[in-house]
Amino acid sequence: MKSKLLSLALLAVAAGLFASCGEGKVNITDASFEPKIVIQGTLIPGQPAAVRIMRNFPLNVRIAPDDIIVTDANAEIVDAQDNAAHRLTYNPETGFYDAGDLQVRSGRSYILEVQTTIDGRVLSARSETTVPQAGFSVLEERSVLGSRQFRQRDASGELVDFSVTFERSPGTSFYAVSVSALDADTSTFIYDNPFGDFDVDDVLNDFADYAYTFTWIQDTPLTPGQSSMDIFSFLTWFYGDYQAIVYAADNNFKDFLTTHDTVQEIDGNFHEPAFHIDGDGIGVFGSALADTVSFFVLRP
Amino acid sequence: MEKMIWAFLWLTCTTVQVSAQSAPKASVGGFVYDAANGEALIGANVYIEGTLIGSSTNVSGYYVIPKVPPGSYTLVFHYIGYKVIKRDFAVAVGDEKTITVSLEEQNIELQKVIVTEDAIPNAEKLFEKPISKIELSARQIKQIPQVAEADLLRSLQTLPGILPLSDFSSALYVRGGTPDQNLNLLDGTDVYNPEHAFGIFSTFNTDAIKRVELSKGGFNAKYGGRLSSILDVTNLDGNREEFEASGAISLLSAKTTIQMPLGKIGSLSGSFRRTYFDKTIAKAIDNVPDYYFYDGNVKAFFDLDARNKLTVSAYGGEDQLDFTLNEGVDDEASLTYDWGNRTGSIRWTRILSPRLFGNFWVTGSRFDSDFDFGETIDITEKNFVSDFTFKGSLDLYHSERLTSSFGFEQKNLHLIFRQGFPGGKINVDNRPRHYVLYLHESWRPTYRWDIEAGLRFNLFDTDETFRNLAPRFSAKYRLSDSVNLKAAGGVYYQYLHRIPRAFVADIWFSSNRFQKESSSSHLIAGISKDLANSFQLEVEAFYKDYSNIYSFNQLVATELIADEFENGEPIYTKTRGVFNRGDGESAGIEMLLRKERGAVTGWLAYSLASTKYTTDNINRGVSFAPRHDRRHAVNVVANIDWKNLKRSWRGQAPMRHKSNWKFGMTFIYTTGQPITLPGSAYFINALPDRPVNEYELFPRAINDLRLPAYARLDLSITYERHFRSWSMYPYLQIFNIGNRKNVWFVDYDNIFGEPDIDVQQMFPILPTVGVSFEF
Repeated sequence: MKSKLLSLALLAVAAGLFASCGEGKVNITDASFEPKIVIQGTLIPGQPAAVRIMRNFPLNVRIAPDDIIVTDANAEIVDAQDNAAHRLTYNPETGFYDAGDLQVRSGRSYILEVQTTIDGRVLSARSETTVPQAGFSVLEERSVLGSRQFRQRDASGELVDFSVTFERSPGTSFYAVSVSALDADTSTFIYDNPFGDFDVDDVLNDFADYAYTFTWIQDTPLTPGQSSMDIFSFLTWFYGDYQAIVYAADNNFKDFLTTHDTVQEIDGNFHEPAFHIDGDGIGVFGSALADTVSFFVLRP
Repeated sequence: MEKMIWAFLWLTCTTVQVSAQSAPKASVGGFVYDAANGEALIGANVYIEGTLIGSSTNVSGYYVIPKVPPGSYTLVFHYIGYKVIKRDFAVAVGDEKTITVSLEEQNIELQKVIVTEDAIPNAEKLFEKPISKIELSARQIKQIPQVAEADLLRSLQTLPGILPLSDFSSALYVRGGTPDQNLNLLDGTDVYNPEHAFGIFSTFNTDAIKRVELSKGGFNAKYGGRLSSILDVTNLDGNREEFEASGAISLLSAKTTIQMPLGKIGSLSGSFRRTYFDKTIAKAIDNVPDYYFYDGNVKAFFDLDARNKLTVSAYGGEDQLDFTLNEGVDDEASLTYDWGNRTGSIRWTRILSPRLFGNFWVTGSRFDSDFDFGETIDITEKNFVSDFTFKGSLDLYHSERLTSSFGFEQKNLHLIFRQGFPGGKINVDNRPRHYVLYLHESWRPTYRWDIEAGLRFNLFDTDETFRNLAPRFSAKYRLSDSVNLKAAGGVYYQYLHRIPRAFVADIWFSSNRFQKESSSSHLIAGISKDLANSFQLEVEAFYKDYSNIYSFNQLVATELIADEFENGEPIYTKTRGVFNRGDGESAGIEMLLRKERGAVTGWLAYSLASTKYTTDNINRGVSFAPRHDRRHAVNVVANIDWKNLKRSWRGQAPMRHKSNWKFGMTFIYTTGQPITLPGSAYFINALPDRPVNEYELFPRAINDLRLPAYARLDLSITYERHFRSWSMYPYLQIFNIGNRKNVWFVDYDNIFGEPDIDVQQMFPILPTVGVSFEF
C-alpha cells in the first residue's frame, strides 16, 4: 500500500513535470483574415486632391506596397455644400486616385465614397472630413529656427529646442509637425546623444524612422491666437538641413495619427484604432492646412 | 425594496428589545491568548462542559456566552494545536463573569510526540467558516515555493477562483473581478496599490503576518467599498512573554522580524526587509537600472486593563528606480521613479459590557509615486492617494443564538494625478467623502441553521452625491454530521475606479459625474464535507453580475477636452473620456480538497469559470472575454514533512525532530488567456508627406483567440535544524522547474518586408537559495 502511494505520488510529480515542460506554441494563422479597403487621403487647400486606395493583406505574408494598390475602385468625393460629385480616377504614375477639378477649400466638408471587390467580396467605405478654417500660418519671426547646435543651451544653461510658433486655425485644436532630415546619412548621424548607444547598424536598421520624425500638440484653444510647438532634440538625429511641415488638422487626421500606430498595449494585447470610416474601410480620409519651414542643425 | 428594508429594521429593533427584556441570566466572557507570546487566538472554541452552550473568539480573541443560567459549570477552551484548558466557575442571576485564559502549545518541546487530534472536528470548522472565505497562516504561505521571496498574494493565486494575469504580476483576479475590485486591509487600514518591484511582489511582508483572510464573495455587511473580494491581513501583535527574532537572507534580499514584551502592559513587533539586487547581481550586468525596495512594519499592543485594549500599527515601504539611458555622453538622459505606501492605524477595543463588544479605529493610508524623466524628455508624474478614516463596530450578544452588529465608517479620500508633458498637463485633484452605516444580524434558530442578514448604507460625496443601500444575506445548514450546505448573496458598490498600468503604479479616480458608481450582485451556493476528519472538501458555485465597471479607454487621446489653459497649453482636470463604461457577468464552479494536518499537507483545487464583459465603444458592443478569463484552472499544492512521512508509513505518531527535510510543490495549469491578435496588415503613411509606406496591423475581434495553456511546476527543499535556542532553515526554491516557455504575448513587426513574429515569454526556470533563522 505504501509503495503504491509512493509510486502514485512520484507519478503525479512526473506528470506535473511533463506538463510543465516544453513551449506554448502560438499559431498566428488562427487569426482569420477579413479583407478591408485601405484608404489614405488628406485634403489640403492649395494642393491637388488625391486618395490612395489599397487593400489589407494576411499576416505572415511578404508583399510589396505597389502590389496591393486597388486600381479599379469606384470612388468619388462629394462636396457636402453643393453635393457636387467628383469622380476619382486612378493615376498609375502616382498610385493615387486624382479628383480632377476638385478645389479643396477651408471650412468645407467633403465625403469620400469607395466601392470595390476584394477577394470576391464587394466592399464599400464612406468617410467625411471638414477642412479646418483658414487663418493658420507659421510665424517664422516668432519661431526658433535658423541654424543652431544640437541641444543648444542659452546663457543660463537652459536647453533651447527648435520650435514653431503659428497662428491657430479657428475651431481647430490639433497641430502636427513632420521633420525631414534632408542630409540624412550614417556620416551625419548624431552619435553623441543622450538617448542611447548607437552604431552604424542601428542607424541603418531604422534609418527611415530617424530621417523622418513627427510630433503634435492637441487641445489647443479653439479661438484664434498663437500657439507654439517644440521640435524636441529627439526629433533631430542628424546634422544638416531640415524641412518641417506644420499641419492644422481635422478630427479624422488627429484620431488616425494618434491611434493607428499604437494598437498594441504594453501587455501585448491589441485594440481597435479610431478610424472615422464607415463600412469596410480602414485608414484615413482627413484634411489639413499646411505650412513649411526649414532649419539647420550645426555640428559642434 | 423599501418595505423589505423597513421590515428588516423593525425585526432588528424588536430582537434587541426582546433581548433586553429577557436578560435576567448571567453571562461569561473574556479573552483567549497564546501562552507562548500573548497573541490573541482568533476562532478558539469556548463552551460549557456537558451542554451545547458555547461561543468562539472574535478577531480580538474575545468571546462571550451571553445567557448562562445560574449555577456551577466548567468552561472548556479549545484551539487547534493547543492544550485544552478547563475553568470552573459559578454564576448567579445578573452576574457578568470574566474569564481570560492563555493556552499552551502542545508541541513546544523537541523530540516529543505531536498530538494532532483536534477537539473540534473538521465538519464543525467547515460549518463555522463563512462561505467563500479562505484563511492562510504565515506558515502555509512560506511553504509555497515562490519567485525569490514568499509572497502573500502569489500564495493566494494557488487557490481556486483566484488568478494572476501573468508571472509578472502579484495582483489578484478573484472570480472574474479585477484587482481594483479587491479591498486590501492591513490591520484595518485600506492599502492602495500593494505592489513592490513593478507588481512582481506584494507589499505584505509574510514574516509580519499573523493571519490572512480572503473572502471571494458574498461577504457580509461589515465589509464594502469593493465589488469582488476582501483581503484582510492582520499583523503580529508581538510576543508578550519573551524576546523573539527571526531573519532570512538570500541573493536578492534580507529581512528580519523581532517581537518583544513591553513590560506587563503589552508587546511590540517589527519587521524590516530590503532588496539589494542593485548592490549584487546588477553590478555584474550592464544596463541594469539601479533599483531596490524596502519596507517595515511596526505594531504595538497595549493591554490597558481588563476592558480596554489598544493596538497601534504602522507600515512604510518604498521602491526606488534610477535609470540612465546613455551613460558617458555629454548630456545624459535619466529617469527616476519612486513609489510607496504608508499606513497607520490605532484600534481601541472596548468591552462596554460583557455582552457589548466594541472596536474603534482611526486609520490613515497613503500611496505616493513620483516619476521624472528629467529635462531631456520633459515628462513628470505624481500619483497620490490618501485615505483618512474613522470607523467603529459594536457587537451585541443577545444570546448564544442571536448577535447584532452595528458599524459606521467615515472615509476622507484625497486623489491626485498630475502629469506634465510637452504641450500640456493633467491635474486631477479630488477630495471625496464616503460615509457608511451598517447593520448585521446573526441568528442560529436551531443547531442546524445559521442565518445572517445585513444592510449597508453608502453615501459617497464628490461632485455628485451617490446613495446606495446594499442588502446582504447568508445561510448555513448542517445536512448531516459531516456535510454542510451554504448560500450567500448580496449587492456591492464601489466608488473608486482604477487605470491599470503594466509595471508602473495604477491610478485611482473616484466616481463622479462622468463615471457613476460600479455595482455587482453575488449569488453563491456551496457544499462542504469532512472526509474522515482528515480531508476537507468544498464545492461552490457562483454567479456575479457587474454594472458600470470601468476600463481604461485606450483611445483617450481622441476624446480629451481641455478644461483649462495655461500659456495656451491644455490642462485636463476631469476624467471625461478616460474610461470606457461596461457591464459584465461571471459564473463558475470551484472545488477545493484540502488537507491541513499530517506529514503531507496541501490542497487540490479546480475551477471552471467564465467571465464576459460588454463595453461601450469596444468590439462593436459585442460581449467578449477579458484577459483574465480562464475556463479551467488546476492547482496542486503539497508540503511534505519527510521524517514524519516515514513515521506515518511505519504507523508511528508524528513528532518534532531536531533536524528534518521539508519538500514543497506547486503545480498550476490554466487555460490560455484570451488575446486580441492582429487579423491583417496594411501599408499607410502617418502623415501626407511621409516618404515611406509604414507597415501597420489591424486587430480582429477583441479577445477572440486564446494563448496556449499555462502550466508550471515549482519545487522547494528546506532543511530544518533546531538548536537549543535557535533554529536554522536553509532552502532551495526552483520556480518553473520544467522551464516551460509560457507565452505572455505575441509581438508582430515587419522588418525590411519580412514579417517578424516574436513570442514574449514569462519567467523561465528561476532557482533561489537562501537561509532563514529563528531565535
